Amino acid sequence: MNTEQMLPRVDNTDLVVDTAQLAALVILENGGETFRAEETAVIICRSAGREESEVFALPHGIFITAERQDGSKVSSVVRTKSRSINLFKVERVNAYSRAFAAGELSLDTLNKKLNTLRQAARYRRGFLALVAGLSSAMFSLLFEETLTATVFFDLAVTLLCAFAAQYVSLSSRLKNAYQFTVTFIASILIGLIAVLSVWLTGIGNLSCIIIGSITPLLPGLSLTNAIRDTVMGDILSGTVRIVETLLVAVAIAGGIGLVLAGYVSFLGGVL
Amino acid sequence: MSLLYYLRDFVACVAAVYFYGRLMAVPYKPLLWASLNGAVAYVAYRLIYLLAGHELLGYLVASFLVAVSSEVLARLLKKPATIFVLPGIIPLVPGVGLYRTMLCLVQNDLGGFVSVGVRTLFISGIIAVTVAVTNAAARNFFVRRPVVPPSAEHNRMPPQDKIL
Repeated sequence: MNTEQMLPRVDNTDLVVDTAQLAALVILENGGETFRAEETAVIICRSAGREESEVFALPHGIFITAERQDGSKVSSVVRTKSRSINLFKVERVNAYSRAFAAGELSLDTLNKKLNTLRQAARYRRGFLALVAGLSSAMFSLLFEETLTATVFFDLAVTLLCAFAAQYVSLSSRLKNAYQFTVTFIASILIGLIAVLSVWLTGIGNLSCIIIGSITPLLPGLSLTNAIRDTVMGDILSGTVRIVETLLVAVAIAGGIGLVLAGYVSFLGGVL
Repeated sequence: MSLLYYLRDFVACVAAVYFYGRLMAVPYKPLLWASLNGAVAYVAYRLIYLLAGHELLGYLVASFLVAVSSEVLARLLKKPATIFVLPGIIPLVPGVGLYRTMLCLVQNDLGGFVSVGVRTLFISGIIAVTVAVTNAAARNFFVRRPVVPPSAEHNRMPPQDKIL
């Protein structure tokens, strides 16, 4: 028998709650589903021997309660602050929590790894904007009906539109703004660049440019997550996310529609 | 000639999904599979639309294709299915529908606004529901491991009376 087993174990319920909450928080902040966050926190609590713990997660916060050895309870509430999409982090948290449940990671290591993961730097803004631009350009190519030389003009304008939109919406000034506002500003920008370039040069397919450029803004991920949460029985989170999806779609349509209405009425544009 | 268009669709789709996946920070190797997955599904949608002349059926089959092949890839590569599904369905998400809906509103065509808008709403609903139901079915019927593991012995607290 080694000495470690002889010593009385220190109550680590606070660390367990902290770690479970951190795992759920990283999942919610990086575009994971609510039921996945809840499930991961439960797995961590149970694997750490806290059978009586309760976890409740919403898209905007996590509540955890667990019992100490002396019977008193630890509760903790945390709100998700930033929302971005980083599936790599979601995948890592999944892998860590499984390794912990299988006994390959200790609680301390898990906590440290999650902390490092949460603070890990994201890609640079320019890179993300460039990638969004390239993706949009390819999408606009997908919607072209005829393949002529003006396609290249469309691709270039789409790249510029989506780059600008993504660059602005990732700006640190808009970090705390609500997603509706950010999307609205970004789609007005897309509309302005697209309309101006088509109006000034007289060539180009306006609808292909705009459809391609708005693709990175579309709430495809949040709609899928909404339906998934609903199907898994988490009706409340599902409803919240569906409303969010509709608002983002309205913001895109509103921003683009505003610019197009101006184009038709003041510049005499034909759609 | 029309073969050229399908080839264009396939290549553009692979590239578009790949870059979109980079934006969502999907790891490189799964992303290659996810972009092939998305491109195959989009071409399947185009073909079904062409042959059967039914738009909703095309979306239904294509998104089912994405969901099933993502579950298979997830089992093969030992990654969560989410990182294959989310980039894969992006070419199917009806951005065109949203644009047309908004266009009808700008042109004061309220009848068109309602019909195109409802259609777009239904298409996005169909895609999301297909993906979610397939995923839920795969989790509940084809998974051997328990979703929440029994408490691991090594981490369990000693009983109260043995502590002091």
